[in-house]
Amino acid sequence: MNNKLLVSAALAAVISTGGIAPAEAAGKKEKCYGVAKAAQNDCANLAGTHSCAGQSKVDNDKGEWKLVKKGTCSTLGGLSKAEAKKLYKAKKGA
Amino acid sequence: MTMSVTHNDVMVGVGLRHPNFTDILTQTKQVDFVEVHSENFFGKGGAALSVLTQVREMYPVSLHSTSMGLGSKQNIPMHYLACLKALTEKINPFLMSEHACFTWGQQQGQLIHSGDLLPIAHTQQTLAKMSEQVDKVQNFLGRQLIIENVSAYIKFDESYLSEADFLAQLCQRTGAKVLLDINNIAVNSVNFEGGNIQQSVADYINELPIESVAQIHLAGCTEPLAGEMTIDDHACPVSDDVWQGYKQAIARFGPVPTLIEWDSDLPKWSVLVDEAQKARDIAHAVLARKSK
Amino acid sequence: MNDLSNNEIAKNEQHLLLEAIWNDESSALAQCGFNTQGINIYRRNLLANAQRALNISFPTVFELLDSDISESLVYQFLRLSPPNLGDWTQWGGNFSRFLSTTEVGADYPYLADCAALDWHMHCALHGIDQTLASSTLQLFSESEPEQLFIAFNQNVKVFKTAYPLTEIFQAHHHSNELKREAAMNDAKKALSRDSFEQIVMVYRPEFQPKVTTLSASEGKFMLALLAGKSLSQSLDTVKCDNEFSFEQWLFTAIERNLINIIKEK
Repeated sequence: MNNKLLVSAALAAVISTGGIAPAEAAGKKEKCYGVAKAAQNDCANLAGTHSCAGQSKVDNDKGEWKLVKKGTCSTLGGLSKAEAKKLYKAKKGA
Repeated sequence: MTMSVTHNDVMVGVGLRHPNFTDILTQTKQVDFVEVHSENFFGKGGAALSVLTQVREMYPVSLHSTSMGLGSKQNIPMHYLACLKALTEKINPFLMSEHACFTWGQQQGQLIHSGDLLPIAHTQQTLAKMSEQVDKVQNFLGRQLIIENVSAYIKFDESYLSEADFLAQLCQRTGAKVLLDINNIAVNSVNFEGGNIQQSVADYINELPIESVAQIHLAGCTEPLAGEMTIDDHACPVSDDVWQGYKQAIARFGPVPTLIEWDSDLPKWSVLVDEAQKARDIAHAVLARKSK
Repeated sequence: MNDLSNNEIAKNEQHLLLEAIWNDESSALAQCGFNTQGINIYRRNLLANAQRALNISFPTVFELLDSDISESLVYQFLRLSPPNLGDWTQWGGNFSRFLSTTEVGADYPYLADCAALDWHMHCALHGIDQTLASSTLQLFSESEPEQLFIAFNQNVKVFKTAYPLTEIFQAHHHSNELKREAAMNDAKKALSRDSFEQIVMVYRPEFQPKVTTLSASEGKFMLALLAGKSLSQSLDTVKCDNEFSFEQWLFTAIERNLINIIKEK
């Protein structure tokens, strides 16, 4: 089938199945207040209350990163080459 | 939307934050207005803006900006003002406010935004530059700005004007008004003035011209550890000292719109509504006494 | 435009305060002349704001990483790419690229692509509200496909990746726990393969942005259209793919609110 026929046939099919009503017209309107994420701009000072507000505990120079121990990267894994590199580094540092 | 306000009616609102989006849109009306942080609605569309548009159909909205940095020596970038203007036109707020602080500057020749409300030196030089910026923004937006005193954690040695005097002069020059945050006076009183909060608040209020105040903010913050500064975290109910100051403010400035501001450790919606009701009761009592 | 000369900037008290907050070597704190307790409050607030902002914009990345390492990454990124728009929501457009230059990004090479997906989802959430201008569909029967172009909804993003991004995303954000576990297993399997390619699409039917994997032919077709090729040229790229059906594609595209308007050249 040439492209012109293909395209007009597709349109005809979509129209005949009532498919051109966009999602929102189907009467299942999403509640915007259930979708909005927490906001990022604030005029309160987070220095006192925010748990993440401490100075960095990590010393990059020493390579003392706990890496992804508590994150899901530890489940998914990294590259074997990189793992080897880390092991090597750890041994060298010991 | 227009509100008919009788002489002694004080409009009392709450700061609307994300955890209360469902409450505001699904519960019966319990506050007179809401206030949001403008920058959180700078997106061109989407869920948050849709919430605000729906809220606007039910309530007058006050747009409180947090990033404009009117006191910056660096000019406010046009991209920021364009976002704010677009939002203003969508929402048609009944009040528009910002802080007497600076936010823009340069590091290594690059424009940066501080992401914080940094204090300004209260000098004639800052006043001149800030008046220019306020004029520019008011003209650009076609609206009056209401400018808030801020909590600070450092002071500039350069300052020789009080903040109240600085704001009064700023308003006189620009036609802007003051947003009086009573808790911010309390925070600065503890951090810099020895902590006689009631005295600091009374002095501040009496230094401001009667007609200069267009809105009041009431907030509470966590008590500091001994020897530490008070940090204005907006995480607590309004303190007794601040309520005391509110009575004086209403007695002096009359029925100005009042906002309960709560940002961290947000309580249930009903607690915010109760705080707003407490403000309303206090204001009514003061105004009733005054009109006798 | 900057209306102060460099000399004046060096003297200005606002510049000094910014420097005291941003340059946090201990010697700088001692020499800045400001109250150190106060400067530390501003420093902590800056880091906390940055951390909160990135946590919200990059929810997958921050689930993937340990909180200690992410704090360090936020700190580095803040210095490398300081905010300059006055809106934390818009900060982080180059976080993905930054991650790819870090050691952890090299060890876990899917992190940078996960960040790119997070960012597309974040932008789509705040993106312009667009729906299909359905009257323009008529062009499909009236005009030559050589002359037709599809303007997609601005919240639609299609990109290729060498990692199972859709699975990693669902493993963290699907509402159903069993689905999350299954997605995690699928992701692990895909990551253990020698070569992998996925074409990911972000779209927004109404308010909630969604992510899905496109088949090779759908991906090819959409990438051609998104690159500005005509409908006819784009169809030609999938002519030999038996699994591709334009009719099916069109039906799904309308359902997913992918199309904004059909345009005739």
